[in-house]
Amino acid sequence: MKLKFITSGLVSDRKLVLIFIGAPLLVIYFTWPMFDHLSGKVAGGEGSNHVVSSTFKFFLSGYVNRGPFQYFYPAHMNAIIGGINELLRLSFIIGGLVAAFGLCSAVSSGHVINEIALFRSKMKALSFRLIPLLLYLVLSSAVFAAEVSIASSTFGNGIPVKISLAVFASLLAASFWGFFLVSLIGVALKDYAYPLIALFVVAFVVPSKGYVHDALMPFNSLYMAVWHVSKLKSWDYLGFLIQALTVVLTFVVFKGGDYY
Amino acid sequence: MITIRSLSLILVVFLVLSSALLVYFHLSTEKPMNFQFYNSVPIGFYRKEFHMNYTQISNSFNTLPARGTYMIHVTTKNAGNVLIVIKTATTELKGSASEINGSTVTIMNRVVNVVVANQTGGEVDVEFIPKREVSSIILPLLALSALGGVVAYALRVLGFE
Repeated sequence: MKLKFITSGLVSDRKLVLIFIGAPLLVIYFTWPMFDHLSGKVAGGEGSNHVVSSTFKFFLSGYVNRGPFQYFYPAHMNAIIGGINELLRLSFIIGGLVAAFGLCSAVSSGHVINEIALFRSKMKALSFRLIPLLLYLVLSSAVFAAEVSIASSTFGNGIPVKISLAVFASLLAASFWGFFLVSLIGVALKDYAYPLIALFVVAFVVPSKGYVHDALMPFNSLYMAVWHVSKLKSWDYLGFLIQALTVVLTFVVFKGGDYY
Repeated sequence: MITIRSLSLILVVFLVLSSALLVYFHLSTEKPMNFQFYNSVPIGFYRKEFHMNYTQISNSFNTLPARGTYMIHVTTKNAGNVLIVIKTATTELKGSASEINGSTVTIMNRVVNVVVANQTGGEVDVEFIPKREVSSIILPLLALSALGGVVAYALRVLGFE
């Protein structure tokens, strides 16, 4: 009954339902073509010549061996990595949006007081509000991992199951990182506008390479390390530490907050 | 007005719509592709001007829209006794228009090079028609459905419904 109270609170929020259903569809719509973004030397071409009839077989092998066969694999791998990186960034944003409208708005409006009173414990109230939201993020990450698997297979180089699972773990880490970053700021400030600003700053202003990027977006390196494309660096470990601290701090700050 | 009252139902709707979108994208990516070859010089030009028989040899390479198995459909129009070679990263099909017509080729590396030799006129049209395959999407979607079932069950067990 207590949990049903939270659920009905969540599903009666129109913005949250819209994000739950609409955001992943938009993400799939915009990221699908990225897995076919073949740059470089993979392009079409043609050639033609007129030769004396009896000699055409002499020229045949020269024509047969044309075509950028060797450039397809690296070009498509770049497309897959570009698509995954964009999905990671968008998962991070979805995680943040879910936190803003699923948790921070309840804290901001004061609705969370009813749940604390109902559960007689701040920790329980927070945990049971988080469970459906985090389960949703698990599902959305699985949908995006399925997209990576299907798109990479459709467009050429399929990826092994082990890499698909690593991509799923990275997507999950990205969405949880966005979720807890927004939760922490939202719970601390009892507002959901500032955390959203912070979310978009981290998602779009942080440079795509370098130490700051590694520390704030370490999940990009996670699947790359499993794929043996690159290794985890010390800045990545710092990033994971920051993520873990954010989770702990969210609970600590929520517990210390005054909602009456 | 919110009509969906259950979180589980929202998750199911989300999963069904996402899966449907992925299947749609997968199937709509598998499109046919045409390679057309025209003889650029009028028939008999070289015989008339240089008193020798010339034929055209030409190639066209491109990237097919999706990997998978394709059926090759060849049509010729006054092109003469042409020799066609279909070259992919792993296979090479070689033969007359009638021999190549109706054969199938499996593409992993999507780059394809089509060569038409001994063309004396008219036009040759080589079309790659995809044979619809859903095998590559079944495994991820099954995994997704299983996970969706587990999450829905978890929500019930935890008492959210």
